[in-house]
Amino acid sequence: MPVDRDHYFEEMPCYLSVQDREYRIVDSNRRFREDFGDREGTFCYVAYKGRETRCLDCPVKRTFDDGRSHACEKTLTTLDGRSIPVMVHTTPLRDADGEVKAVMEMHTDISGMRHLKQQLEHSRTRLSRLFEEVPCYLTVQGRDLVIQNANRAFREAFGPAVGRLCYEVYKHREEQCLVCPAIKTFEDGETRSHEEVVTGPDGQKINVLATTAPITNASGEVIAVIEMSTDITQLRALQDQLTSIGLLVGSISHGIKGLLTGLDGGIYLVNTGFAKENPERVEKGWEMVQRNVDRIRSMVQDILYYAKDRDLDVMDIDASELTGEVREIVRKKAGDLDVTLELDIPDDLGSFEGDRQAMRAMLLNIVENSLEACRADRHESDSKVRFRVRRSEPWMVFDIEDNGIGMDRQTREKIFSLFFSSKGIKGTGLGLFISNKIVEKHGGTIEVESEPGAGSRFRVRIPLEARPSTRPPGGDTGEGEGMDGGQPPDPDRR
Amino acid sequence: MSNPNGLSDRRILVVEDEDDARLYLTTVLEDAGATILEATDGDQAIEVARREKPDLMTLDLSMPGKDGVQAFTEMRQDEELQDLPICIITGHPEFRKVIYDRPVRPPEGYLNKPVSGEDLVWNVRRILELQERKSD
Repeated sequence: MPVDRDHYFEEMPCYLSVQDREYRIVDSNRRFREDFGDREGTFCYVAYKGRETRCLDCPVKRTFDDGRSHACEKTLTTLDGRSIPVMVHTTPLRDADGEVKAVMEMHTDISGMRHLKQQLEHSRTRLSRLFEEVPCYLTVQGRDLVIQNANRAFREAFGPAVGRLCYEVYKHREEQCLVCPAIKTFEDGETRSHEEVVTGPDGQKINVLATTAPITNASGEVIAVIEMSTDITQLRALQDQLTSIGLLVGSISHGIKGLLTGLDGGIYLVNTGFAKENPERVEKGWEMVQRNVDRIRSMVQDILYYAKDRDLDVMDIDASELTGEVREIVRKKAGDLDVTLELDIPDDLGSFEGDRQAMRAMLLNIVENSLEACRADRHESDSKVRFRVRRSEPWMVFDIEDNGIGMDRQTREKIFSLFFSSKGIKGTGLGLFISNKIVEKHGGTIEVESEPGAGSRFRVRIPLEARPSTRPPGGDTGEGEGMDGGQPPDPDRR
Repeated sequence: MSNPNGLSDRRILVVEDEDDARLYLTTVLEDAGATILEATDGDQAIEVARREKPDLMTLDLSMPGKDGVQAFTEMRQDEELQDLPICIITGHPEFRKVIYDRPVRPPEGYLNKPVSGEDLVWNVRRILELQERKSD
């Protein structure tokens, strides 16, 4: 259907006007006339804006100047006083010689678009605030695992991160982690969860549950991965404690059953010994009772020590005196087990600083452990435990060596773990754990050398001077708690 | 003991690493008339069982070296030892499932420590009686 070209101009769904070089309106369409009136001959700035002078930034002027189209945003005021945000486009109208004689100006109402833009901006701000303030570590990583964005919690815990590799920031690693949930999400676009131990800037270990989710573009391609890590350190610590308690209960319950069997045995031997008038049997039974009561006592003391993390009561300890006490206590046990106890304890060892009761308990635990290792070795007829002490600045060094069954690597690596015991019912798995804890608290070290069948050597080094961390604040030596306050196991186990 | 001679002429192998517990079990069984053989770990248990062919074995589970679970499974798969009645005596009641889940015939008895002398003799005697009935 042929339509008059003027009709297009007239019916365009925007404000159209044509201005001459003096900025007077020479033509306009119907929409324009509806909102601004028939303003032919009027200056455009008067018609569109009610101004008395030309606008400072005038696209019409620019088109007259350079003969090109221009665009900008303006706000117009209609005859009835409404403000309308518009997008202005200008185009030159040339004569036959190509000279710009007039400029056509088109104003498109963008109030709907502007509203959408404001909403978008608002949503963007809200999203950004949410990302920033969410109480977990949030990062956005690209395919190269470079962090593109990180939230406040992350920056506070790990420092500036944008532009750095995630494994570098999270784990201080130089190469990619073996299990990387972000890479898996890039591969299959699925959400992944993985528990990790990451390192804070001060070197502290943080347990986190890391969850990754894909960020896709319009065509569904994964362009980045958002990683959310929740700090579960406290939860893990609690879980470890609960596991420890569970293990403790299991270990104690098994230990107690063994000790009760020993006690039952002793009582049975005593009773039947009396009934059969067999004094030898009575004596054997009574020894069994005594031995098992001693073990129960020692187990209870180990448990009490474990139950409460006690402060050290640091004082000057005469090394010869301390080791003399240990020797006296273990002498009987060594005799009972038919193990020769060789001592190399010079009189001039001098003193060192530490918690006397804890030190005695620690040495006793290790020496008794060596005696047990000899007892377990049924092939060795000449069982020996050698206890040697020397002063080697800045340490007091205790060597406890035996020619008992020895340990394989697996056992050696586990002996200081909580509840590890190779001694069947005789062990709660607490003794060496507590010994190690005591040595650590004194700032010392324990080294173990051992081979199956070749015996073991424990070397304990305790600093001669207590480390500042081992001293109670203000030089106070603690509150002197009673037994149920978790004293180190009473060394007086005869 | 209700029947002090209930185990006379019976040869029982007591496998237990803990000296006191072993002395207790052997004394109780001896007092009931049994002849006692002893072993302190899984390997020794298999060796003595093969050599002495006892009528019954009491077996501790938690022992250094070859433990009771391993020794039990091996004996059950051994042509020569598979018919030997075994009564487990352990401080680990939770191992019962481990033992009964083995792909072998379950043990003839399972006693939890601490065990009274009477219970021990009663159970051992009962296992031996059932065994006899089976073979008749």
